[in-house]
Amino acid sequence: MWLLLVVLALGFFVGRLVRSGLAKGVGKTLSTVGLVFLLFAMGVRLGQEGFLRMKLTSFGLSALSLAFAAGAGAVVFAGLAERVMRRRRP
Amino acid sequence: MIGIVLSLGAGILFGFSGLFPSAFGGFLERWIDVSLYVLVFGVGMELAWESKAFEEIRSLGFRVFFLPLAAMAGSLLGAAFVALCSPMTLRECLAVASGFGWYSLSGVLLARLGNPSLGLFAFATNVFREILTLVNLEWVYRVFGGWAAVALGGATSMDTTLGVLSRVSGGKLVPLGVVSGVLHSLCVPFWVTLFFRFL
Repeated sequence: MWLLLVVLALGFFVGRLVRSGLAKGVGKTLSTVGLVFLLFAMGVRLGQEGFLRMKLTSFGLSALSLAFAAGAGAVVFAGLAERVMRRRRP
Repeated sequence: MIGIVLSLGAGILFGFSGLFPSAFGGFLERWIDVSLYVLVFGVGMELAWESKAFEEIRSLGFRVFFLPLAAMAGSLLGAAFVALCSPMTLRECLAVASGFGWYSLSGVLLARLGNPSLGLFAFATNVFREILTLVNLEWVYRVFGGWAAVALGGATSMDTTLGVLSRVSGGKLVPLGVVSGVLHSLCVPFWVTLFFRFL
């Protein structure tokens, strides 16, 4: 976790050293390439590992419903909290 | 969103087809790590000249912590609701949901605490949460707003879903995502242990 924060800060400082347009352009390209490669690799891992697939399919619906409920709860609560915060702010 | 689904889907198909040699498992792990660092470095560079990104944090002050707190409360309440309508106990649902998307840690933690099958269930649930986040983040941002989009990712909003968060919001939500992700990540061991041992 801390290494990720260090890399984020490093990217930030390198970005400050170069022109705004260049930093945004290079940053966008790097983040897009990183995202595509990351998702593809995650997909390969999910598809390739039989054990992982077995876990996901055997728990299937109950795991999915719990993940959905937890995500939905977080969305609703955070959405409400944002509304309250925005109302209070001048 | 199409790009996200396509990348993930193509990866799953590629892995499932057996074209990727299983002997390169270590290489795949390194590939994931390097991609994540490239992604986070790129987001950091984009952020460097994005003045609006820090405005939100500056204007919120300490109230910025309400976002992860509300997200955690919402996640746990959602899990409690599932416990009401399923054969699982409240303790199990809360312990699993308090992984907040960090599947590797929550699974291992529950297995070490003495329930390996619940650890596997936590692993699957939190993998699903990450996939649900990647696929749904864009419309959640449009319909429910920035805080909701950050909250959906839970602990992953500082790593794997940070890139999507940055793309959909034009970089505005990156600092909030990092703050929320760090706080979620720090709380995972605490909540998982608390719910499993003491509830």
